[in-house]
Formats: sequence, C-alpha cells, structure tokens
Amino acid sequence: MFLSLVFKEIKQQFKSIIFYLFIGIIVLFYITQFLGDVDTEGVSKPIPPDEYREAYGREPYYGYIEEEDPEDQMNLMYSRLIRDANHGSVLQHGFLMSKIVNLSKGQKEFMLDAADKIIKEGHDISNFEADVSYKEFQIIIEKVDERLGGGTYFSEEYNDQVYRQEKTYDQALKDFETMISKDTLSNAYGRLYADYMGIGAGFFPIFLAAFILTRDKRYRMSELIYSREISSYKYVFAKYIALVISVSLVYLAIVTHATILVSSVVKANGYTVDYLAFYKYTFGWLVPTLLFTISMGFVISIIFGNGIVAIPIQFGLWISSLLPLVGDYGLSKFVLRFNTVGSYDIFKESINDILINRILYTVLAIILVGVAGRILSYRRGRQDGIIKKRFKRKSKEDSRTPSLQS
Amino acid sequence: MLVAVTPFLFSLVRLEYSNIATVGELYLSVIGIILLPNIINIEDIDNIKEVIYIRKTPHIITTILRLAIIIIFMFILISSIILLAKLQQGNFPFWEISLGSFISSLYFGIIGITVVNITKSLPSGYLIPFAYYAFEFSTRGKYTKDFFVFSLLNESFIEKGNLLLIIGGLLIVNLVIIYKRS
Amino acid sequence: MNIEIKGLTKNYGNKTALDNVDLKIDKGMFGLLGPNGAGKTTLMRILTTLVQKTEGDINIQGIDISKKRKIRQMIGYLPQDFAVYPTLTVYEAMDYLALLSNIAPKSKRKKLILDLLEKVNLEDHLKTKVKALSGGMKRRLGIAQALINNPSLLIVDEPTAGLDPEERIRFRNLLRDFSEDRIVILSTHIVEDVEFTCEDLAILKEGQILYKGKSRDLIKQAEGYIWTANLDRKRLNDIRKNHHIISTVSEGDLIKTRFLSDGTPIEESKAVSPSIEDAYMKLVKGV
Repeated sequence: MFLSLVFKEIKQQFKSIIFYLFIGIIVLFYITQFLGDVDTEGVSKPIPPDEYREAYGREPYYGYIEEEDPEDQMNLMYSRLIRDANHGSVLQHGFLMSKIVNLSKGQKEFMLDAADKIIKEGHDISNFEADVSYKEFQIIIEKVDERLGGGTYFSEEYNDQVYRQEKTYDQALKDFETMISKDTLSNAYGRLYADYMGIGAGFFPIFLAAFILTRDKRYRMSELIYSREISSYKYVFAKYIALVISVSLVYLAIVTHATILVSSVVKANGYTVDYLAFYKYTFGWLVPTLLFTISMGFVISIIFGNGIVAIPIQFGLWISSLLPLVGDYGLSKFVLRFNTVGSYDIFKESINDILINRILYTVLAIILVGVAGRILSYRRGRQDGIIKKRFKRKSKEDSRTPSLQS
Repeated sequence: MLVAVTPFLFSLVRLEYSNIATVGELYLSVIGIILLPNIINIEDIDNIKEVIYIRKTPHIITTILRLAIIIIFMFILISSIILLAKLQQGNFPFWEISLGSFISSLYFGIIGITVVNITKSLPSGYLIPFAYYAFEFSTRGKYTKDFFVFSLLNESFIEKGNLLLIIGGLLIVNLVIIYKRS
Repeated sequence: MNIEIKGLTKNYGNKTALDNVDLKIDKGMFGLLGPNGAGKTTLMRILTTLVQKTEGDINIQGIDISKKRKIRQMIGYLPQDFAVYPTLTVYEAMDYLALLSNIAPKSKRKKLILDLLEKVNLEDHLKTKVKALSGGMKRRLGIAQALINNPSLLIVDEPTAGLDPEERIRFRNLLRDFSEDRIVILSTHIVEDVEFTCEDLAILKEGQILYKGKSRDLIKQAEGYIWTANLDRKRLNDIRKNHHIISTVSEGDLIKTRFLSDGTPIEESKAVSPSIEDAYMKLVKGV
C-alpha cells in the first residue's frame, strides 16, 4: 500500500510541467559542462617537452601538483609574502567573489616583519633555510591572514593556491600511468562527472521539493487529507521517496549516456573500461547531495508554510558548498567537488572523509524528512488558520454596525 | 530584507569596478527573480480572478500599475546599494553599474513572469530564471555572446541594450497574454 | 453508537468560538443549525481532529478526541469547500483518497470505489477530470470519498450550498440513505436541509447551544408565535419596525407577510402552525 502511494506520487511528478523543465535544465547542464570537457578526440597522454615546444610553440604546461614538503611550502609562502607586500595588494576571497585589496602601510610592514621572522635578515635567499619550525611558521602566516582581514592566500582555506608547483614531464607521466593503471580513466572521468552533475543536484531539485507539501494547501485539499487515517510520516516519506526516485531516474538516464560515451572513447584509445565507474560515483557521490537537497525542500517548506522561502536558503547553502574546486570533504560540504580528471592521490587520501561525509548527509536527509513528518503531524491537528481570519473579520463587522440581521 | 544584509555580506568600501560589478550582477540581480514572478499569479489564488476580471477597471491596467510599482521599487533598492558603495570611496561609474545591474535584475524577473504566464506554475517561474542565472554564471557568455547577462563583469555595457530590447519585447508579449485572458 | 460532548469550549485569543457546548448525538441524522459564524464549522473541525479544543471532553464511540489516529479511522468528512487536485479524474481522486485511508489491497479499493460511485450516481464519470464536474457532481464525489473508509461518523458541512433545488433534494435523500448504520452530522444554515431529514437537531448561535432535542419539540416551542397577515406596503413597513419578518409573498396589491410575534401583533393577523424554519427563526432572533 505504501508502494502504491509512492507510485502514484511518481506518476504525479511525471505529469507536472516543472519536472520536465527540471529535466531540461539538468540535461543542458550536462551537455554544456561535462560533455564540453570530455576530450573526445583522444585521451591526452603527456607529450615530452621538446615535442610540446615544437607542436605548440611555447613552454609545456603539465598542470600543477600540490607541494607537501614543509620546507618547500615555507619557501613558496616566503616568496609570496615579499612579493605581495612589495606589490602593495592582495587578493581577498569573500562570500561570492574575490577582490583585490590595497594594503595599508601598517599591513605591508606587518607582512615584511613576518617574512623576517621566517628568515632572519642577512640570510642568503637563494639557499632557503627557515629560521623557525614549521608549526611556528604556520602561526606566523595565520596571523598575517588575520591582519589582512581574512580570506587571503595566507589562510588555511586558500593556501593551497600558494603551495603548488608546476608538474614536470616525468611527474605528469607518472600521474598519467597511475590514472591508467590504478584508477582507470573511467573512474577519473566518473569523478569529474559526479563533480559537475553534483553541482546541479545541490540546488535545482529544491524547486521540485519545496512545493510538494504546500500543494495540499494551495489546492485546498488539506482538510480532506489531514482528517484521514494515514500517518503523517508515511505521507511525507511516500512523497519524498517518490521524488527521489523520479529525479534519480533522470540522472540514471544521463549517466547511462555518459558511460556509453566515455567508454567508447576510452576503448578507442586502447585502455581498459570500467563500465560501472559512473554508476558508482552517481550513487555514492551524487545521490546523497540529492537526498539532502530534497529533504531541505521538504523541511523548510513545512516549517514556513510556503515553498518560496526554501529557494534563497538553499541558494546560500549551495554557494558556500561550491568552493574550493577540489579537496575539501569536510562535514560542512553537502556538494562534493572534484573538478579535475585524475588526481588519484588526492582522491585516495580523502576517501575516508568522503565516505563519512556521504553517509552523514544521507542520514541527515532522512532525519530532516522525519522532522518534516513530525511538524506535519503537529500542524494537522491545528488547522486554525482560516477560522482565525474569519474571527478577525467578524469582530471588525461587529464593531461597525449593530444589525438586526444575523 | 536580503538587500539590507548586503552591506554586511560584502565590504562595500573602496570598491573597484570589477568588484562592484560582481555585487551588482551576481547578487543584486537575484532581486528580480524573487520579486517579479509572484505578482502575476496573485489572482489565481482562491479564484479571485473571476471577481477581479469583471470589475470596472480593466485588469490590464492594474497589472501594469503593479508591475510599474515593483519595478520602480527594484530600481530604488539596487541603486541604493550601489550608492552606498559609491559613497564609501567607490571607484566606478555610478549610473553604468546601477543601470546595468538593474537591467540584469529586470531581465531575470521578466523571464520569470513569462514562464509563470505560460505554464501557470509559480515554481517554474522561479526555476527557469535561476537556471538561466546558473547557466550564464558557469558558461560566462560563451553561448549568449552579445546577450550575456553579466556583461558588467567584462566591463561591457553594450549587451545591456540588447537585453533591454528583449525585456521590452517580453513585456509586450506578457501584457498581451494577460489582456487576452481577462 | 454515539458522540458525547461535554463543556466544549474553543477560544481564539479573547474571542470565543464555542462556549461550553454540551451535546449527545446518537445513530441517525443529526442536524446542526445556526447562522453563519455560529461556530458550526469550528465544531465540525474539532470533531474531525483538525482543530484543538480549548476545554471540555469529547468522546466518539467512547474514544477520546485526543486519540487522533483512532478517531480518524472512524470518521468521514465532507468539508464546506471540498476540493481535490483538479487534474485528477474521478476514479483517480477516489483511489488516492482511499490510499490515504489505508485501504488495501488494490482490488478491495477498486470494488469499494465502484460501489460508492454507483451509489452516488457517478459511475459514468470515472474518467472525467474533477475540474470538469458540475457543482452537484462534485458534492456527490465528496460524499463518496467521505464514505470510502466506512466511517461510523459522517460529518457533512454545508453540503447543499450552491446546488440547484433538484440537486439539493437528491443530495438530502442520499444522506438519508447513508444514515442507516451510522451517525451523520449535517451542519448547515439552510433549514430546509434539516427539516425533512433530521429527527434530532441542535441550534447554535455565537458559540452557544440555543436548542437541542427533537425537531418536533422545537416546532411546539414556536406555537403561538407565528403569524400571517395580508398587508399593504405601508403597513408592512410599520410592522417591520417592531417585528421580525420571516417571509413575504406578493399577492396582487397586498403582500402576504409571515412574521414572529409574542402575542397578537395586529388585528388582521392570524396565528399559524409553525414550520421548523419558523421555529428556528424564533430562537435565533430571540423572540
């Protein structure tokens, strides 16, 4: 019986205009974002430097690699400090955007002082040797960020932009081999796919989810429904599961297309294909985002009694989850980013964090739906709204004209 | 309310063109999406429309009035924020940014209105403008070229003229639909 | 099979919607009469668990009103503004509502739905969209859905408002049929609805019970208070100032007037036997 209800709700979804608009948008997103990135001509194995220079007429670029070594990090950061201080401005990341901030005299001096702490005056810069321990160094740099107002490259959040080196040809080749052998191209592209599609999944479903529970009120069917036997939890969960399934079907169709496409490219280049890769990432990586977004729509709309409120709230959450582009898998991120092909090492490191994050959000989503059910159960027995309004009107009438008529 | 929060979300001090453009284009334009689509739908609630449509004042007049009021309100909101930034040592042309952001906002809003008018679905009227926003944001004008909404990010105002043309066209289309319907 | 209501009060801030209402309702049709704003709908919504009472006790078949789930199993409700998602067909609407009443399996639902729709004469409109139904048909659908879970208590709120006379009669008969084995509470301000169908009734005004008991006793109460007279317009206006007019009918130059009065009002008038409507008017106007 529960299944019948779910099935009916799914049917209802497939009959609604906004659902098809939603499909259109997700597909558009897919085409412009992911398909644009898939190199359909051939998977690019790094070219040796000489060949590169000959073919493109410029120095080869193999991407960046994270700098892990503490000494090297200090070196990089030191150079950065000096450079920015002399230049007189820093880049500051804000809520939605970043801007270039001009440094005051005091700030410049602070930075140069900090640099001095790292290497005492008189030292030979070409042979970098720090005068402080790594821990002390981190504290110094943090203080610089604070002094500058936060959000600069000197902060924890953004210092990865400083701690990186250009890959050498050998490193690039090594990464490529790893990708082919341990990771497989399918998986590498699978993660990229989950990254792009996950972005959409963190926001657009809210337009479907936020208006489902308020539909009863809009069509004035709430009295009929609320006076019935069905438990509020069953009612809400049926709608939830139905929407999740409906949306998942859309993603399933798209991921099948992606799998076929990428697999044929991979095969054409003679590498092994993992047909399940994309599905793995869709369900493990993407679906928890979906679950969370939809549950937010339910819970916010039932708390506020209307669906529109959910949109800006989710928008705010969404924006804050979109950056940085790779690497942050903390619990505050409901959209997980991995905007690169490969980088297997980063992935392998973070896999535990990723797993915990996804499980957490799945559980959180279910709890939120439960909360929505509880609130509905409470509201169901307190449908005073309309009557209260009548009373306000009536009392106004009474005070105006005493009449013989009732 | 959202607008009131803006000065706290971004430091509006000493902004250069590119920064204020971002605030205007990316943030203030959302105002249009939120404010506009709603006003078309009001009469469909509780079937008020049957009562409203037969009244003496043609419905179309009230709609135009309503639209005008909201649009003026939007303009005031947007330009106030821009003014605030300008007063705090902003280094950018006030009118260009204000009008530009306003046009972007209006553009999204009118799209929302059009969708609501055609589909009679208010949620759709929010979905499409937001999707358009996300699309322009991520593709940065690659597909829309001379009609790129966030053109101020590229310090270009010409596109706004094109947008105005579309806004005008859509306004007429929508008013015609409403007129026919009443 | 009964409902016991004791000391029921409902307040909204400092406004009282229901004031210390006591009622006992047994099997069959029960009429709840009263002017608009009397508190009838409030009472209905409390009985259907949609609104909380402020004070008092309510027991339906011995079950306290706070046991919402159990109560909801027992009741069927046709609200005043009955509405369903407009794009559903008659059958789909019934099926959905039946599901929400936990009726399974599908075969059982199907049989029930077809039976009920036949009883309300909608069996030819299974595939008609709800928004295409006429007012009378919608109400009949309303009754059908209210009965889907075979409730012991059927609550019908202003069912005939907006129906043409023929539909109204048909509807009253339907309700009459359905009251065989259950309690049917019919809440309305149209006295006619109650007149021919309810033996027991209560009259509510401004949250208070003015009368409860048999309809025939109500009529007896009004005996001697109902008068008719054939008057000209001037006389009519004089009368209007001091007495409550129940109805007027033009008869040539004169107007046949029916009105309330405590004692002989004017010479030309004649006492007549009261109808329920008369008795109702008498009570409500406080004559």
